Amino acid sequence: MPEEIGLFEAMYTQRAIRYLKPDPVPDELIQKILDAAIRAPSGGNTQQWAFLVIRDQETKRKIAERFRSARGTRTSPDMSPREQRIYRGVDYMAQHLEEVPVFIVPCIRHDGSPSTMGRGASIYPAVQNILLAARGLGLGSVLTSRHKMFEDEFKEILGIPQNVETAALLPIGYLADGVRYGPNRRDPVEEVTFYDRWGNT
Amino acid sequence: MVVKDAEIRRKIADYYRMAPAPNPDELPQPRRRIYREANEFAQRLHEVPVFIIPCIVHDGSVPSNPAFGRGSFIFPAVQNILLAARGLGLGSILTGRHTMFDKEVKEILGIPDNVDTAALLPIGYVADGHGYGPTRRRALEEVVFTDRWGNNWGG
Repeated sequence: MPEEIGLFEAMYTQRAIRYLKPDPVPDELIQKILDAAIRAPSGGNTQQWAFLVIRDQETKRKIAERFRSARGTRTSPDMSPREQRIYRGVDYMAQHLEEVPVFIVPCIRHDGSPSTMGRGASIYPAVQNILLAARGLGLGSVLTSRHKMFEDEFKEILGIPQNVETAALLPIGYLADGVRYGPNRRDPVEEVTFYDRWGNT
Repeated sequence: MVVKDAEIRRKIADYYRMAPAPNPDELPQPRRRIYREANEFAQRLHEVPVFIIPCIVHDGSVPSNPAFGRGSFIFPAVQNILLAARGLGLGSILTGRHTMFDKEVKEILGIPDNVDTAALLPIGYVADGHGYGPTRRRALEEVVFTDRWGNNWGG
């Protein structure tokens, strides 16, 4: 078990990891990750979430095949080096998805009303806790949502009922050799913070 | 957006208070307690020294499920704000009642049309007698499935 890291160090070094080993991840670590997920807030603390933990190889294979056939962004020479690096990772993840030992699929139960951004407030904080917990345990993950392009089929593969929306597909695994967490690259906070009125930096 | 100006906070809080909210007396526990507290909080919202209002700019690069999927672009950051506040000994709460008057609140703050506000996070020191502590949550076994919906996870 890696040594414990502080909260701020976790937030400053957690980043999308798309190169993962196929080595199995013990149940104990998945439990720790999910236990962290459910500590997140949800509207009125209603906790209308559900988390699918997928290890079955056939299920992962079906999802991965469908994932690959869904139209995704491809690298292009017009992209900046940073973007190209990201989309090379996205391609790699798509090509090797079923080799990832575990997927976590966070879901939110709802009342059938049209989907809104506000509904996300009751599940994406939990998703962030999953990503941070994985980071804290030395595991890698990335928030993917390409499955939303074929959500009906995806839900059918997993037996997910009508009034449940899936929020993400989170591959979980050990980091591939040579890949590590480190300071995440972000536009400076000063550029995105306004005081009292939009535009006031 | 970081909102400190007292007059602006008051205007926003007034709209927040106008948003319809469930009547706590019609709810079972524990929701009754939660909504009673939330309604009391709404009455005092303008006293909180700072609001952070996380926003998401959409410029055409929209995910395939625009409304819900857009949440994935901003709520992870919102959770980092809540955790960071916790780590610094500050209190906050993820609120969204202002969105009922989104147009008016955006006008007060000068927020452009292609920007959505995701939440209103009041930030302040925790009141005396209150504090952080272990959270009460449903057991994992109730919310985790293995490989297929309905396959309860043994833990």
